[in-house]
Amino acid sequence: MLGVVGFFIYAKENSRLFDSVNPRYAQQLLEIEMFTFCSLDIVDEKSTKASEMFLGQLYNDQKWRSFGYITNTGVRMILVLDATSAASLKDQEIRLIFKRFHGHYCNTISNPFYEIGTPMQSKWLDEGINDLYSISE
Amino acid sequence: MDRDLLDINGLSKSFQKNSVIISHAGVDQSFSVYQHALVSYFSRNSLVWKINNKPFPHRLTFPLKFVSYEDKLCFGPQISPTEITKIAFLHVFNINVTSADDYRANVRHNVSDWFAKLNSKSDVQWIIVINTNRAKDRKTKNSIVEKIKSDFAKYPNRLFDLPDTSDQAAFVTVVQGIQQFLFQHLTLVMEIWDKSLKNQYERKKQHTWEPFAYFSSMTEYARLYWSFGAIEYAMSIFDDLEKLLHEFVLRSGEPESPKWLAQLLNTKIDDRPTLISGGFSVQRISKSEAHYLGMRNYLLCQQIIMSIHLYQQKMKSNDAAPSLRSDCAVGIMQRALITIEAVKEFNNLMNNKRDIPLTCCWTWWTVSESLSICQLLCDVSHLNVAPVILSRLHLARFDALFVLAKQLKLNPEDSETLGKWLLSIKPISLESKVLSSAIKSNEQMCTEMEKVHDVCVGSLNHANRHRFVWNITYKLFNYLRSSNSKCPLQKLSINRQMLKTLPIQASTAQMLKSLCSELLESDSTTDEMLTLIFFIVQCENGKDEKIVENLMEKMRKRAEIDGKLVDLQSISLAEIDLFNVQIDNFEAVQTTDSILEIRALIDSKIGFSLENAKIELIFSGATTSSIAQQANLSVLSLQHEKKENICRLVSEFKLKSQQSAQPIDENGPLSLKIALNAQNLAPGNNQLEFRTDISKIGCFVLEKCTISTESFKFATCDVLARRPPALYCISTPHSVTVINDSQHFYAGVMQNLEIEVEARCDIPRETLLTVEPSSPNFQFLNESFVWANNLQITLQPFDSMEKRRLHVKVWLKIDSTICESAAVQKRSILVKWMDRRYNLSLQFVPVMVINSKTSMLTTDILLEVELNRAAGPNITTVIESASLTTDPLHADSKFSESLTATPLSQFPIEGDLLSIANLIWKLPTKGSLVKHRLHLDYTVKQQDPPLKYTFDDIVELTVPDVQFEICTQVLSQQPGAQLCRATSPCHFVISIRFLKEMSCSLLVVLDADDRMWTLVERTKMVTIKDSGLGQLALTIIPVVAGYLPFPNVSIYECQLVSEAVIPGNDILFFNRSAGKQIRVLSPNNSDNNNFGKQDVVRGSNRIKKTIEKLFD
Repeated sequence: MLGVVGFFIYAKENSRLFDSVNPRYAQQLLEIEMFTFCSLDIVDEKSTKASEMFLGQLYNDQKWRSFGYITNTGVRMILVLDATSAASLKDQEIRLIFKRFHGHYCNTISNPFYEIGTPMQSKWLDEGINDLYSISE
Repeated sequence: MDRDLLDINGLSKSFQKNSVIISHAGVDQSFSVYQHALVSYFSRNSLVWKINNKPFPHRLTFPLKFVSYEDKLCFGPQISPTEITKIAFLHVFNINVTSADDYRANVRHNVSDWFAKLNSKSDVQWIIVINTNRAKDRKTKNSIVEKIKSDFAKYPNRLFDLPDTSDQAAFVTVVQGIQQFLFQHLTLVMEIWDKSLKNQYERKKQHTWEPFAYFSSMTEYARLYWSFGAIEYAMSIFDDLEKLLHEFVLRSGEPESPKWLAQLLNTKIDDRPTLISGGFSVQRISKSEAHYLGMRNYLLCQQIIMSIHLYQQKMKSNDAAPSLRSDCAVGIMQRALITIEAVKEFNNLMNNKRDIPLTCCWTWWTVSESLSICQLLCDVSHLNVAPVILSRLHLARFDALFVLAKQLKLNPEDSETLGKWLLSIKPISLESKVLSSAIKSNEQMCTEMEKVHDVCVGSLNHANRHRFVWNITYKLFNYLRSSNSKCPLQKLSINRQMLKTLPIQASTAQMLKSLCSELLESDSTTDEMLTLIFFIVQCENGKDEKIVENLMEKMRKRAEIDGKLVDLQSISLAEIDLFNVQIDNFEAVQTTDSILEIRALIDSKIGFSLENAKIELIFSGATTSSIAQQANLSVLSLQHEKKENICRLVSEFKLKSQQSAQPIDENGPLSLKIALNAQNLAPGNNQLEFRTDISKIGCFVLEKCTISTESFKFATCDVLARRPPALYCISTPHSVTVINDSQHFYAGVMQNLEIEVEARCDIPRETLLTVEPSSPNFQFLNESFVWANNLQITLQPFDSMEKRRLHVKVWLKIDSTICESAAVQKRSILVKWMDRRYNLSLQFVPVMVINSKTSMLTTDILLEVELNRAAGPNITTVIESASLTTDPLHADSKFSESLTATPLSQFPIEGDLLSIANLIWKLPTKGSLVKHRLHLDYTVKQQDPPLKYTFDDIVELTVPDVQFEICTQVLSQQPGAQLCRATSPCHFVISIRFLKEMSCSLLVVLDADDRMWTLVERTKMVTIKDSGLGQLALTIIPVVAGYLPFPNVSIYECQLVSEAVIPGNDILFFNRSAGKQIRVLSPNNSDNNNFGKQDVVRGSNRIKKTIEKLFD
């Protein structure tokens, strides 16, 4: 079991564009979200000297681990995993996840009716999330 | 090791190097001299080691140690890698004899035995040193060497001759030989060890694999290189080992994961892993520390000591970097951080809940101890690269204490066990004491947690990790509240910079409300407080009505205190606009008095509804404040010429020279404001419609939009519009004219005034037109048929260029001024409409001309008022009543009340066209310049509706006291003629009566129109007798025939000046024959036959009779 907890997309101005938490962890929503925005500190720190989009592991505590990804336009993506999960995703697998979601993000903002900076709702992201949680199960 | 005694040298000495053992046999006394030289040489000089004909990347030094030969120092068939370090690298046999015979007799057999033992072992390095300094001559020395070489003819390279201690070349040869053999042995040893480690690693997937054995072997392997001076290489080995352990942990969840990982969990942490308190003195990890924490702690100890060694090594060289000290300190902190995080991850992944309290304690003091070691090198808080690492270390320390507190709260029985564990290890460190007291007392735990929190916050802020600050403060406050402890609210450094780091989401609001619950309930209205509450509202998008109400209340208080509205933008943290304003296209060209309509769409993003809001669109006519100017979007600006009423585009370069520094008054002519009051703005899109009357002229550009309530305001210049939001207001006044003013109107009666109103543009609303006097005495008939001072008419909406006729009934009251003559006089009325004033000039003719004159009788004075009807429409006026009273202010002091004159006329009196009516009063008083008020009430006959009119005015009369009375008569001078004829002389007989019966002399003067009369005699003196009567006759000649008025008579007092008589004061008299006329016949040429003396006598008698008749 991989233990995928959630996936979050933040704009450059700290506004949240997309958020999804695995229903299995719904009761710990506040902790997960607080952990996530703590990870934004690490993203801000690493993004200034990152040589690639994938930022690697950001932060981990007793329960959660987070991995970061930043686009050229400053949009941040954060993947949160369960730190107590026995299985672990390889570095390459996490890169692929982010790459796939980057494509979903591009498809979403390509919608001519989508207003940049507003929360996203699209089938691409939903399908990506469903696939991610199915891997987790 | 005590912390107070901690220093770099002490730490450095805690590492004991593995010695390079060289066994020696034979004569020891002679070789001891060379031992010291060899030890010094190999410890100071770095040597290049070649492996597979390639140089090793690091130079090596050999810490030599000479020991006596023993069999256990040789390789054996069952040697293990860890025991390799106990075997001698080289075996030396020292031969010191006086002669060849001495060698054969005393030493040869020993050498043979030594060699036989070595030869039985495999891979043994040995040399024989021949010391011939005891030989007496060269020949003997040569014979000894030759003998020994013949015995070991197969090993010529292992024999070294030292003829004398002063022979440097021979010593160098020995050194080179030893070096060669040392490297050979080292190569062999390392090959065996590498192979063994590789075999061990390959068996890591087997369940019986012992990770501790592999770990121990790897650490010894690294320590060996460390001993040889290859510190960096040893460091890399430790780092690789560290990564390997971490990878084992990360892959513990894989299906093929071996079971030996469970051994790490099953091993209890009996010993307290530490760095300073004895940790550095441990040379080899013991079996009791075969758990993950113990291994990682051991690695960290070795890495720290190695870092210090590396630092000292580089400090001795000439190319030491300036940042060497700080680099070493940062390296130590990094390794400590990596170790702590690895242990934490191990516990997470392996679900090791048993060791969590112990791990937390270990984390607590490991951070303290590692930072203490770094402080020996430099102050790490000033390093540029250190803030992040330092903050993470302090964060780990806080998390450890936090988790420990929670764990002990859940399992209080662990407190006693943990306390014993902390105190069981000697010596007791400061950290142990602090933790012991914290474990025993909840209050002490809260205190320590606050201390750790403060240090952590400082470091996190220094590292710009503000979100972590929020997180740990949230954790601290939650713990303190759960422990019923007071929360240190002063630690909440809420400011804009901190809040900006938080994402705008519901969980942020939840965290902030929980964290700042006491602050939110306080009465503070500072900027930080308003910013915090508004941020919470934005995060929740206004869903929490209570917090919204709190925000509005605080803003109201703030507005009351400051005396001005709160600027919403100043307390907003979101970079998005709070309100997006978009206006639709509107009619850009407007005329004054028209109605401007602008539809606007306001997208409210503040999250809650605004009630009773005021929205204003502010247009500016100033050339320097347009939106295009501020946004640098264009180099042209709009300018309005008022005189020419045109707009033109003007270059900005030209405008710069015309710019004025005066501020723009929003209520002045250069500003146009359109407001909507009492509006409710809901979250999201709001459709609004602005309407205003255009009352200014000019060119206006939309400058900003303001939204305000009773407590706050918001202004934005970013208004979306498809076209430039410019407004051109031009002047097109409406028209108000009188269309029936070709003929004059009549004053004194009601007149129908036809006013035409023309609208030059659409007026889509009802307007009020007011008619009022511009000149006095105007009265207007209202709908109730009552005369009023002004008239208000409500007009229905107009279309463009629509004309409408209004019928206004107006009455100009007549007064003495307008009734003085029948001449046309101008009066004007004022019409107010659409904020404009129209002065309408009208021509009036009085309906009646009023003239007055006084007549003096013997005892009374009569006032005769003549009312003449001028030409005009057939209007019959009826004088209903008339009164004449004196004005009390001007009456004599004897009469305090007004006096009413006695009317002698009967009312009503009708006045037809061209008729004359006379009103006669007997004046009640006499005097000079007495003011009388004449009041007439009259109506117009057959007028529908019947209206009453009045005349009321002041008539100033002079009523003198008359003492003389005259009567005049014109008599023909022809005898027997009863009538006068033109051009014939006549007698103008004047009879005078003095009312006081006194005698006096008077001078009578005639005056007449030369066209009627020719005065033959103009002046004559007359003497009044004592009876009061006097008479005189003057000759006059009528010029024309007809009814001629009598000549005017003036009477003066006689004044004698020398011999001449001149007129004196004028004497007032009553003329009984005033106004009379005499009929004059045309001239006749017949002669008078009776002219003579008899005629004169007859004429005189006739005059007397006439006088008698007059006064009867």
